[in-house]
Amino acid sequence: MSDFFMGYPRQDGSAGVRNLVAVIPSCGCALHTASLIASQVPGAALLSYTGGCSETEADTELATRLLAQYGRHPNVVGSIVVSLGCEMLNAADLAARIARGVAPVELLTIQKLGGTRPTVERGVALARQMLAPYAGAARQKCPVAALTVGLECGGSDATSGLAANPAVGAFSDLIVAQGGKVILAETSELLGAEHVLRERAASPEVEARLMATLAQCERTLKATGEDFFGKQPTPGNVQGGITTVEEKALGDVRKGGTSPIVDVLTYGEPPKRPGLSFMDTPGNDLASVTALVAAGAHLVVFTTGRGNPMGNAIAPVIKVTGNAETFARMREDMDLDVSAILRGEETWEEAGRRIYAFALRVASGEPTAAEALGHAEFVLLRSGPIY
Amino acid sequence: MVNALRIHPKDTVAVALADLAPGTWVEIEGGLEPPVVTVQAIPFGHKVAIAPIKKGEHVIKYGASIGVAVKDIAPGEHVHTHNLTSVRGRAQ
Repeated sequence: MSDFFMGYPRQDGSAGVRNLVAVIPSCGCALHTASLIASQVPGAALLSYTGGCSETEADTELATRLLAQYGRHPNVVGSIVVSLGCEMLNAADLAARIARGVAPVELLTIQKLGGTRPTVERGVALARQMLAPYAGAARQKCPVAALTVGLECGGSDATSGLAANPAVGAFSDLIVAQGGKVILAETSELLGAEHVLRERAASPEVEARLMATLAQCERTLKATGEDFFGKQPTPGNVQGGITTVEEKALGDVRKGGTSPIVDVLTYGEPPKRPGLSFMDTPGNDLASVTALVAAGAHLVVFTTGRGNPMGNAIAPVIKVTGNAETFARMREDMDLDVSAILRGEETWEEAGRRIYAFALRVASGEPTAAEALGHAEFVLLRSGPIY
Repeated sequence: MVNALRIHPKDTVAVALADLAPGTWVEIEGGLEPPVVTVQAIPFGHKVAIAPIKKGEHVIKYGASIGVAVKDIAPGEHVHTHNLTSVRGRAQ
């Protein structure tokens, strides 16, 4: 039987779970002006991008592609690109890429408009105009098959691998069973779980790409000449009882449940097939969640033992903790407590169904803890030097 | 009362489900044979050895290697950064 959420069907056949206008600076020099626009309009979401100039062409191209994907995201009903006017990133090209989607886009250039104040005035008016048709818009029944969900873990402790991650794994299997898309990520946090991933690959070709992705990640990290320890696992992970990257990986991999891995995606690449895909992202929560949402994730389910409050600019981020003390101490930042698993009072499957029910309510409009607190993080991966 | 979790039958460590004081019986579901008593404090979420682990041997959790013992580890000892190291995380 098909399950439903109450969403906003879009002209291209997708469905949104929020109606937001993305305010997108095309370089760091336009960030403050863009933030002034977003802060004055409820429903406007700032993408706090700081690159776009004095960087490698590869980084600029990656950013242009992912920023455009934010502009075409089903949760976004319009975009305002705020350009300084002399940056490396081609803001007109960014706007043109966003215009390939179904939502409107406007380009404002600070140097042409006469500075901060006139740009902000124009941007605020445009944002209000773009949001006006969606005031009081009715939600409609949309199948769970229309959902893309990103999986992330951050601020992990020993409870993550024992309770929250396997519960999210059960949740992930429920989304996959409905024909939805789920994205597992965080390559550097899976070094040591290769044998688990191998068994899960849907084909020898996917298995080969998975192993190549992990091997490349390990080579890149070793080339720094520094040990992983202190980065993977982090100091907080170690305090929480996780000793090695292998141990962290064996806990992390459980987020993906038991579904086969049908594809391997590059950073921010949208999944093509229903089911569970793997995306090559760093373990860093900000850089990883930003890419999951760029790829079209409507919402992200985020497990955290020690307590990470982060959200995302345009997608709800659901916090699941297996640590009862963290849930009590950071109550306002957490959505779901699955610590009953560790007391033998709830199974992974039961907790997974609870996460599933909550995720459908969030997809239908209920705010997450991170949304209620205004968390709207956005950090793009940058690989090259800054000139 | 259960105070630790062995995730996989092959595991040589269990995870403390509460802060365990030195001299506490390690109680896992199904019991441990022979029984194990903590020889150090084991904080919540941390690992306690439930089998003898020799220097150079893999430490097993989730039924898989989580690294190698850098010294002999007796049952009841805290297993963490002082006696367990990654085989994956070294620069060289």
